[in-house]
Amino acid sequence: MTNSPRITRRNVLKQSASLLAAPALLTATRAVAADSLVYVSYGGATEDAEVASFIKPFQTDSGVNVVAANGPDVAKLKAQVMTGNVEWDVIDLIGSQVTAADRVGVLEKLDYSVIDPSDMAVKPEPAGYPFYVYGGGIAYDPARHPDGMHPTDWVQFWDVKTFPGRRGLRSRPDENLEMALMADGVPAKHLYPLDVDRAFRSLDRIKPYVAKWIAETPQTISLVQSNEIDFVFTYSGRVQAARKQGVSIAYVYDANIVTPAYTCVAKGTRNKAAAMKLTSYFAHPERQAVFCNTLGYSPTKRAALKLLTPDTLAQQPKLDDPKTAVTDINWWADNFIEVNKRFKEWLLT
Amino acid sequence: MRLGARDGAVFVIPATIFMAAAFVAPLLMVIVTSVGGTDLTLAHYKELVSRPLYITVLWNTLQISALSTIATILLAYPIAYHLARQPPRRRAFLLILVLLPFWTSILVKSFAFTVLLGRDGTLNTALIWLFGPGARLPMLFNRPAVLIGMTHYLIPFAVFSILASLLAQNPELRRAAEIMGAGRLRIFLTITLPLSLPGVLAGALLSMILSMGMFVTPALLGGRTDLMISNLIDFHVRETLDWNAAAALAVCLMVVTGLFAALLSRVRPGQLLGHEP
Repeated sequence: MTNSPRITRRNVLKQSASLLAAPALLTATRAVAADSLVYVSYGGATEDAEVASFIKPFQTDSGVNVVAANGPDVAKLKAQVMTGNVEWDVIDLIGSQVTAADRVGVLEKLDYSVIDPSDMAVKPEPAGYPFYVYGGGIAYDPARHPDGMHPTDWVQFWDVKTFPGRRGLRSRPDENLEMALMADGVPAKHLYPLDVDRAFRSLDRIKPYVAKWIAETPQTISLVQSNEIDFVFTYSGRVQAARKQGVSIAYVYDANIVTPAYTCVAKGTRNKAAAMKLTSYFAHPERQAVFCNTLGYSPTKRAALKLLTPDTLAQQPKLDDPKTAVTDINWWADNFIEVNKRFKEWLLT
Repeated sequence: MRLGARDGAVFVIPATIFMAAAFVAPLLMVIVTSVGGTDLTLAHYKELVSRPLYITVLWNTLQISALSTIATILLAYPIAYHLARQPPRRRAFLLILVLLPFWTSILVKSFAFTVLLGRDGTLNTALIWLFGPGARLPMLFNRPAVLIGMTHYLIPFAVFSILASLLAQNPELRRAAEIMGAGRLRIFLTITLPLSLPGVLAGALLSMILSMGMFVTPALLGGRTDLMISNLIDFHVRETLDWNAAAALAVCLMVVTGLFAALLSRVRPGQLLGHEP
């Protein structure tokens, strides 16, 4: 009986205080411990591979606990920084999101004395370290369009006489302008600065054959699956996931437009040193290779390329291939708003 | 102790406090953001009229909302009329059926419509089977697809408000008309319909307001010209992080929606039919 907790006024107060704090603990994951980090990524298979390849080794070496959260969103990050309630520490961001986020001042500058910026196939940004690239390219249903019956680059994608079929493109200007220029004969390595007028003239030619300008990424797969579209612009990772589920869809690894994915550190993180250290784990060639072998992405460290399995190598865009275009996120950061308005107006007319 | 009319205010205080904190305060923040905070600039509003984009999209939004509201009322009225004439138990069961679409997410529903309306979809397969290969209709990625998707979402809202006004009618009125020798059509046109118009207007207003803010359905089912104002707001919030522009757009949408609400609530049932009831 003496061991059971006595009901005293102090105990009751303590208990109710912790009850009151419970909701705060549930929403604010960072309240777990002062020296822990919150890492935000896109979830699913990507998150699992990231945890196994980068997060676990960091936790073991440093003893810092890392809580993985889902759904990086620059708007949410901006709200956190504006209200001084920063819950995220290290964040995955894609392409020009990094420059957009950096320009509104919600990212820390990375400490490149901690993170190794050498031997990179993609240029590191002041506020974002690129750790893999993913490809965007042509996908089709091989049951309806066997070899030789589908386009394999942008000139052919634009060639509706040789390759008749309904096209599907994204409803945003980035990637579309690049492929329009390549379809018009601009070499993939000499796209930037983009000739916007020329790109729109080229887009004019394909416009009547685009059955759907796709806003939601899952539709790039489902519309090929339901035979609403013959040739679609989508991403290699999406196609691989769909193939695993038994969907009849194939992907062209040539003539890809690749976009880097970055790790970033939130402005006002309460654990800056640890956040930089965690980011540095994304810059190890071996870990990048483990990550990319799991998901079939391309690593950014040239040394990591040599560590890929033949299977992985066969299923990814080659960064140094003359037909592979690499998104210039800084050009897009400078021009996105204006070009996007023009693109939306162009769609409406 | 008796409760006077003034004491009634006590009951609405909790709701008022909640609305002030959860609705009025954020709304004021949006308005402040739209003028650039303390900068007090109208630049973000000027931007909206400087380009054809926003005007076209606002006009689109109005068109799509008005058309889907009309379709919703036309389809919801017979449902409500039928429901009003059922015994209460049966009506309760049928109402659950009306509510069924609410239990599915709008994203899933839109994908389901792709399967129904698609080129090789259920409807087109049936049409081709009935009338041959020439009967295939383009029903997806165009304005009709958006209207179908939105109407499907809106119907339950309209059914409930119309049903409420039908059930509130005194059945003695219809019986009296019948005794006086009026036919069923005449009873409907001179008694049931005019008395249910407040419900129709409320349903229309609700549908209009809801559809002005929709963006997932047009994005998934629409063609390239079916862009709505909420798509642009979403875009400015999440992609360009230009919250001032997003707020200015949101304020415009709110003003236009508010104008419609004011307009509809001013229309008296009698004015609609051209004579006083």
